[in-house]
Amino acid sequence: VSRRDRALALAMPLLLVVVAVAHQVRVRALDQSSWHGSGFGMFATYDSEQTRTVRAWLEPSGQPVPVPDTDTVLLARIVPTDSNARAVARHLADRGAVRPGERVRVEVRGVDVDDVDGDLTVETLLLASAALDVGSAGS
Amino acid sequence: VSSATDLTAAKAALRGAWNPSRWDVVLFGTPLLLLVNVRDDIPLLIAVAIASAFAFAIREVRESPVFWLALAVVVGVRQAGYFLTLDDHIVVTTYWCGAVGLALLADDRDRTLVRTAGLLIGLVFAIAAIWKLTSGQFVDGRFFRFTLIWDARFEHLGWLSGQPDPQATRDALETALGARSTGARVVFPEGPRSEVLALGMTWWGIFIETAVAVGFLLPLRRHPWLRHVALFAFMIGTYLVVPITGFGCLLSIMAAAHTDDVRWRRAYLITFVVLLVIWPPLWRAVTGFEG
Repeated sequence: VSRRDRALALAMPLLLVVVAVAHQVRVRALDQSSWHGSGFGMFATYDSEQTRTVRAWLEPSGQPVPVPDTDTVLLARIVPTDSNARAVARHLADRGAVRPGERVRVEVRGVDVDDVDGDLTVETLLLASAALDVGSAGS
Repeated sequence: VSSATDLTAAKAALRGAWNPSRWDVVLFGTPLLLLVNVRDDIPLLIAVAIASAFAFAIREVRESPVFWLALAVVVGVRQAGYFLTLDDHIVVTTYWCGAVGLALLADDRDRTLVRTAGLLIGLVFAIAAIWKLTSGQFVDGRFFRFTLIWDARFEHLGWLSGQPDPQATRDALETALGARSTGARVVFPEGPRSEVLALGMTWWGIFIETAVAVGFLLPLRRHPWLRHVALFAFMIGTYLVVPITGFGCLLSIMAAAHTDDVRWRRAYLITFVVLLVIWPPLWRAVTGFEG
């Protein structure tokens, strides 16, 4: 096998490994879901975008704001950072779900699963949060 | 004379289909695979459909490295915009298009493609197995104990374990997730055989993914059939529970490209066709049935 052929055969597998390593770093650093991002961590953890959810409500009334099933929301579930939660708040304002003068809070929530004396117990967790005053610079 | 010629041509085509060459499977199967895996991006789907039509119709196109590399670049650049939301196998399909183009540039096309296919399959499974082995919640069985209840796709297996109504448990967790504050706890009622079933699935998953990785990363000169047995065991065990057509088709094409044995290639080709035929979106499109 010539050197050139060997390099041609290795190029794509090498790209796969580089992307998978970058994915591993992002999962550790950003709490990114291991299920997405080409790192092959699907079915290794229950903490996925399937078990993460995004909730929004007006403050201080507590009135819930419906959260659409869009890519912005999906991204916040995959990478639950405060900045992605804020992006969802802006997204809700852009869609008219929150009116000028109102304040919306967005939370990304997940679960932790434990065996408590033989009982499978699931606890809800706060993963990221942001508030936005619509019509102003936000908080 | 004409009908006799037609009959001879048809017989030759049938013989060809029954003894598929490595490159026939790859060059005809990969465009179909790509169509399945880019279907959610309509502009990209249209572009890939047009490119695939040219590849099917014109031999020079489908055997051109420029065609495959251009396809990989266009699809890859487009997917980079929403990379994080893609399933992993969709990205591997794009790598595979690039790998086909690079192999067509090689002096020894066959060996280059065989080596790339083996590495791609082996690395995907090796990394997946490492994820599972280093995930405490996977190794101690919590992942499958939770999944058997939470993930509706596993409901029939959960039923085998004797677990009570999983829908009520899922609803309870949804309610807790929607509550004003976090920190609520929900107990997931399990069946009498849930823990045993979860641990069995856990160690089967680690074993079979490691076996496929080892099978495709090591030469196995004496017993090359072992890698195919492992891959088929994985596909049967996995796709009977969670039918991910795009990943199954991708594995079938890459494994068919990897093997020198026409019988295994035939088996992978049949698997590819069966997975496509039973593909739910295709059934919905044909029958209009949404169930």
